[in-house]
Amino acid sequence: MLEITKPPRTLRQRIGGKWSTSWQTFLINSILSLLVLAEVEKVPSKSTSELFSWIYAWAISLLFLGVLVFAISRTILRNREKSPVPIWVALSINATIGIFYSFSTEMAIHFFGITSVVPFSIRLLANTLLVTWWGSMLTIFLDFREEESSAKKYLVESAVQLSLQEMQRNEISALVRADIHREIEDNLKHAQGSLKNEMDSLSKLDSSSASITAQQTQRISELLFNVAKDSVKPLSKSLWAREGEIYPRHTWREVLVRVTQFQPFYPGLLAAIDIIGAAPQQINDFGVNRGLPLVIAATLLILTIGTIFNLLMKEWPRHHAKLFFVGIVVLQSSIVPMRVHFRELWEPGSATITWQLTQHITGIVIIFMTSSVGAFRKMNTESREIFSSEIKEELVSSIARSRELANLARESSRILHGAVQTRLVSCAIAIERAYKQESARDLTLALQEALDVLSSPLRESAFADSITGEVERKISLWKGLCDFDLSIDIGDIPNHPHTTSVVGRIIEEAISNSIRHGDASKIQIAIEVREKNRLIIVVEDNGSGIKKGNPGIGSALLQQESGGNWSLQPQESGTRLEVQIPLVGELTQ
Amino acid sequence: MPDRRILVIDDDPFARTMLKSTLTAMGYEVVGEACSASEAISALATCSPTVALVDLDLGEGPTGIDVAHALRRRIPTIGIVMLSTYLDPRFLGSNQRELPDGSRYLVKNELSNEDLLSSALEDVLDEARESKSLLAVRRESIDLDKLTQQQIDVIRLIAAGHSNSEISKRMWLSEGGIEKIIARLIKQFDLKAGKEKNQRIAIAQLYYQMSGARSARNN
Repeated sequence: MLEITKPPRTLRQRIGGKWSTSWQTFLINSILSLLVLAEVEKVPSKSTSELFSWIYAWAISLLFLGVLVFAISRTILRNREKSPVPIWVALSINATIGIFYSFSTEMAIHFFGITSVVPFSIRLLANTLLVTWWGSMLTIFLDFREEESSAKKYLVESAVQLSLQEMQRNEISALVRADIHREIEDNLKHAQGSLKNEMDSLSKLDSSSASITAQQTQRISELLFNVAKDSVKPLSKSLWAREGEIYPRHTWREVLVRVTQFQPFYPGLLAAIDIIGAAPQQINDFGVNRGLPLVIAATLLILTIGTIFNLLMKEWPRHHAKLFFVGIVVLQSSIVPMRVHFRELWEPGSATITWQLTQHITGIVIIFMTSSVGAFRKMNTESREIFSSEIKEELVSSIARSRELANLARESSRILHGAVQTRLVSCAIAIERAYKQESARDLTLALQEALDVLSSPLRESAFADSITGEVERKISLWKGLCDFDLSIDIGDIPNHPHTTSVVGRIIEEAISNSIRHGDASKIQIAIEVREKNRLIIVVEDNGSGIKKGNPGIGSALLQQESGGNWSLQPQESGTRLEVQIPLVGELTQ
Repeated sequence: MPDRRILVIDDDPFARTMLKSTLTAMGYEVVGEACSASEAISALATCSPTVALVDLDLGEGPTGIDVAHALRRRIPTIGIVMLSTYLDPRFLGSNQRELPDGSRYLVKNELSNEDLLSSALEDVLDEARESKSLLAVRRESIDLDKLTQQQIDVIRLIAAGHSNSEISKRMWLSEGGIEKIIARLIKQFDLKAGKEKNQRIAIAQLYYQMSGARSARNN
């Protein structure tokens, strides 16, 4: 059974870990930096040529930044997945990126000859602070998301294990066997085709074998050797390597849902971010006398609304998600219109639709990100239970099915390897010999055999329909090596394929042990039903029993199927094995 | 040659046909053929071979070794030559008996020419004639002789795709014991060390090699 709880990751592991300077963080930050740049420099309201210059400037600076980030991720942070760097290193790296970004943007601006409304010092300060903070938040968020995803994976895994133990093996095996046969037949059909062509070209020639050239023989036997080598063995390997089904990808939607259902707002953090992000620009635009009160008003709004909604969500946890969304709506619809109003008042025409849209988008994103920051701290089992209840029946059974498929595939690949490969190789040898002996008949026989092998590679082991039939079949395999005496008294219990195969395997195990290790020459088998819910199998022989004391792989089978209810006792004239297995089906009530 | 009477036992009818024609060309008299253990025993009612050519893997039920022992019980001087794809018969399962005394064990893939087969047959016929009872001669392989049955079982179960905990349940050993066996195997065969998964694949490739794969590694 898998462990469900892993120790929660620390802040250091998150910030200094895998997601720091990953290409995902870089991509998200790049897009957001474009939005911020557009808003700050009022890019959308500029002329087309300036617009493009801004975009180029942004792209060039991001290009240089990308090189830097790549270099960092390959040098300082190259081991971050295994051993995260200390927080101060990670923060310094983010700060450096911010500084670098400021410089590269500034250089790009000068290069393209565009004017910026933000002085360089403010850009430097803001970028450094923002990137440091923003980069860390994003890293934590992505780390949290990955952690939830792997927690869900563990849950799915353990549910699958449970489900596998409950399923009846034989019923799945029948389905899976059909799948494997189909795949093998498809894979070998192409070889069939080539061989058929050769046979056709042969049959067009004279029937005298002298006209069959050495070349053709060589071609055909080479084809078969290659098929044995290429089609069968890689096929075996591909069956062998087949893994269980891939888990469903963890969706953003699920993560966001999780955040909205559990997380509060963080008004203090939101206010701080808002100040850092909006204050410099507003003060710059409108001067201190107007800008500062605006900033303070927004801050107060955030703090008040955020706190109120937190209280509401705590009071009514069942409506948490709804309140979360309403809270976002209230926040945005109070702050943004306020800003728009004053902006229009003091600088008419600057509050474009694009600007407003940017405000809304960044606002919502920031709220989600800050709320998820707290989530990592609260790794509670409650959220895992929500995930586990979401795991659907079909998902579990389909993974279990493909797992069974993989196991059966490995078994079949073992069989394939032995039987089919050998037969194909002997066909190839037979063809060469037939050519040497100039026997057209032998050659045709060999080619026909090869075609047969290629069209039905797996031999089915035929299970009998009833317990009686299966036991008789097993006995008939060993007849001649031993004398058997069989008595079955089971009435007409319904024939469950699982029970039939279990009984068959137990009988096989008992017979082979008696003959191989006990040197028995007489074996008596008796099977009866007891209390309508158990089968008692008794095998007595005149052998000397198992010589070695330690149990082998066979006893594991007996132990597993009987749940421990089995015994092997020496008698005066031999050995006695008794096994009890439970019956499934309508009998047990 | 009156005492070169051979019984061919192989569950694959085509292989039987080919073996028959090869043996006849070599000068043997094929007095019987069988596809299973019980058929082999009942064939003894109508013929008395001096040597038997037995395939190791006869499918479900008794193996070639079981048939060989049963033949020896009825005809104590019969020579046994066993054919197999497996380099070591222990790979067929864990409760196999030893080969009967004086038998020869040939791996099919290495029968590049018929001389190997005929020399093996001659050897067992000579021994039967002179009533020597040498120990069964298996294919020389220093590596394989050092392998215990336990190690072979572990290799086989890994190649069948079982995890360590499943193997430990089947073999009645602790997981630590299984890990020790695997570690010894890795050392003994100098398998590539690395992430755990690569080692398991290397062990499974070992199984393929030892059960007669031609070049399992190259694909």
